[in-house]
Amino acid sequence: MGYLGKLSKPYKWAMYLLVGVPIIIMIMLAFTRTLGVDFTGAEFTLDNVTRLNEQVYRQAIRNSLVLSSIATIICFIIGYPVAYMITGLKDKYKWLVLVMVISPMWSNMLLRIIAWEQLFKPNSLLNAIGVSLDLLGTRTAIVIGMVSIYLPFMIFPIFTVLDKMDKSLIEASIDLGASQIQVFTKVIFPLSLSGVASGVMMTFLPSATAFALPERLGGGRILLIGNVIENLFKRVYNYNLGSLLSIVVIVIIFGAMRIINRQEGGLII
Amino acid sequence: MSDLLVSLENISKKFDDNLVVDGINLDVKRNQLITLLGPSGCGKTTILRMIAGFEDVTEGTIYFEGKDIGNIPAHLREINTVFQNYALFPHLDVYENIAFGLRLKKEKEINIEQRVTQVLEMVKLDGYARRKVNQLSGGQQQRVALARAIVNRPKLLLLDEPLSALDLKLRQEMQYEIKDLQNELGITFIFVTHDQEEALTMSDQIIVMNQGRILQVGTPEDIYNEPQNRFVASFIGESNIVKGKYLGDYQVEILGATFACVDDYIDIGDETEVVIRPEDIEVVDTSMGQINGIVDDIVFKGVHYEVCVIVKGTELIVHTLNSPKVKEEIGLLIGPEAIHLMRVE
Amino acid sequence: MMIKLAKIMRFPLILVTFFLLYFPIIIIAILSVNESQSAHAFSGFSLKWYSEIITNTSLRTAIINTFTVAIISTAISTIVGTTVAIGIHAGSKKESTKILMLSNIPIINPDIVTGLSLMIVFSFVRLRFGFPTMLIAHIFFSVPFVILSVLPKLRSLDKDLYYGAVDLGCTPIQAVFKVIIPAIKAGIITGALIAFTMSIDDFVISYFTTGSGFSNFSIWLYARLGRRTFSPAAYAYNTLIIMVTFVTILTMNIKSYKKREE
Repeated sequence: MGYLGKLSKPYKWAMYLLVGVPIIIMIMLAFTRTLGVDFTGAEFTLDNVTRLNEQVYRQAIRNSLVLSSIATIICFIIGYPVAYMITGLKDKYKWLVLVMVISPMWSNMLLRIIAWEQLFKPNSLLNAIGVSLDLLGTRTAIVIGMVSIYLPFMIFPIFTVLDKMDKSLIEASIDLGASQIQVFTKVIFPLSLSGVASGVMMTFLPSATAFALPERLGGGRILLIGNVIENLFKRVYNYNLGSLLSIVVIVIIFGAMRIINRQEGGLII
Repeated sequence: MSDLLVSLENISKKFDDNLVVDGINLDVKRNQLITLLGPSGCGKTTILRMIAGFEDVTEGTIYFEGKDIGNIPAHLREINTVFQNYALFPHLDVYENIAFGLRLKKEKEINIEQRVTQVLEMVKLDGYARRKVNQLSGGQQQRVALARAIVNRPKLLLLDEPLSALDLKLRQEMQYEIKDLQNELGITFIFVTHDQEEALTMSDQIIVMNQGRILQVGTPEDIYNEPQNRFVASFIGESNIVKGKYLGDYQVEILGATFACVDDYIDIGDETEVVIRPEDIEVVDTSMGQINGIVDDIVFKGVHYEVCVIVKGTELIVHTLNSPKVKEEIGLLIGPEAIHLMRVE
Repeated sequence: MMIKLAKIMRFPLILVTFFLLYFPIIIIAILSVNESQSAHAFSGFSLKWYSEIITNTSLRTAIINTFTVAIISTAISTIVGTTVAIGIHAGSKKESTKILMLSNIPIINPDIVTGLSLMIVFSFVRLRFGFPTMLIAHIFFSVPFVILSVLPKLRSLDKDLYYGAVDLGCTPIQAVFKVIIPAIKAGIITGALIAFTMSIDDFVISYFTTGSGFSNFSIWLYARLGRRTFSPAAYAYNTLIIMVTFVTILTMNIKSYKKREE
């Protein structure tokens, strides 16, 4: 089928262009001062790198890492048992529950964030039942929002791995003397780690880089790295510092991927 | 210590409304290689899984060393299993797969190392301890599965079609190795297979099953030479099964001629089914044959020719070293020892 | 002990899960039938926001834009993704790992990185931001999902299927259309569905790659958050979408259930 092999060539070049070129431009932007992406008369500078040390940016990076780590851990604590429970259901109910876990994603993400925002206000629909949450602008609000939005991304990959697991491996471990708990700790859990790894990536990365969510639920008081980058590119047009921060994000992502990949022997994706 | 290791008493198993095992009684002695032989779906694997504890029995009792083990969960039974597709743990290497059971028993590290090394040697895998299991060939994975089970020194080893995924040559090699291993360990192996040749080669005793019932229990020789019914006769080896009539006094009428036989448990004048193995029929000149027939087809099989002879409208398969010609009329001789009578069901 | 704990805990955990997932959706539904524009209190039942989906011109345009981009980008990325998957499958192992690595990048990358990268390329080559740039962006992030759904189907095919077709007189192109594509249809449909869903719901990437006043629903919404131009018709639109989704899933489930019964 060598003839058909040529079909993917144009795509490869398009991807090199759309993935590779922006990274090169971002690196160039990060070490210059320019107007947008116009490089005429640009000179090399380390100003942006120095500015990275400013309180706002350090705080934003720290906020991103801390809040999305907490959200990811909560997603894992809720998501793993739920995924495990779904695999144990009869086929008929299994798909029903799974569909119910996934279908909220058809609802617009921004609107779901707004729904939480409305509930977290001191004056909300909840007043009708005598509750006033008044959480807007807190870290708790941001974390609840993240968990609510990204929980399905934790459940789904874990479910997939658990559901595909060879039943005879579980029988084999029982046969060799493992009790119920040991079957879980020595076989099921280690074998589901690849699903956990993709679940962690799929919740951690988008929640750490979100900007609409912290903007709405943080009430403008808590900035994450996404807010800062969005602000730099879309409002103050400082592409140079924006690019540098984006590069920081990319480096963190690939660092995290490498750690998880090494642990997992390259099992994800 | 009683000679009896496992007893199945009146065991039945239903899946929903489907009766898979139908009232089986079976005694298994120590230090034997027992084969459960039958076509797929005959209930042999289910029996194995009930002994291992993976399935509950619907009815009946399983005794292990005289004790009812119905309430003992699978992980506490002194029984280990070699699974059909090996079920090796992909997250552990060869050494850790084998050490799995010992670690659960909290054996000392030095004992674990010694025992794992010993079984690795037994299954000829020394030097493979730190390999990943998915980097091994089918035959090597098979050996790891064996080693992982026997390292726990079970009193009974269950093997569920363990060779079915291997190619013919490797399968034959492993048959001898498993037999040797059983001799060396001195424990009972219960081996499930649908391959009659495998069963005949390896077993001390064969249990032939069909549709959830035991049809015959015996040594390979018994089963081969004296099948008790049509199913066993046709399942084990190639055979001619023809209708006949017992005339009494060790005389039987088949294909319009009278033959001497050695069986005498059929009532005089009763219909009988007669089993004649193809290699037991001798091809002679027409003048010397007890019966004569026309050669219909000849196939060369390497060591012998497989000849199809039509005798009075009935096809007989004959194995012979000399090739007759197609359409030629030949004579056939069948000695008394070669004629085995079965009751008609 | 632990097993018991897990057994006791699983019911509350399922409740928490469904609460977290469905509470916002229920709130949106309630707000969609709220008489008042304010979200502070429920002042009475009204369906007026549902009719405003059509009468509010800017919202209507945004919804039409959303579907236009979604339909065109799904069509293009399904064709491109299937073609590329067939190419990857037919090509050498080395080449296929390289392409798969490249094509996984938009899947792994957070939306903000993908959006920014595209924005930078587009402005570097001086494209006019608007419908075409947003369309390219949507195709860019959809194609990898089509590839990922089609490729496993191709890999599970009998290797000789293609050669069998050629042996019986098909040209390579005919073999692809008459044999391979029908055999991987399920994967293509899954890929197209994922592409469509992602496109309909996308905010971040669209936000960075649009311009000249071209908005999809999410951008329309984001621009009006906390402003007086915001209309609860957005709640109504979202509730409609959710209801359509649920009815579709339910009928599909009932159909497949009936099929199994037969």
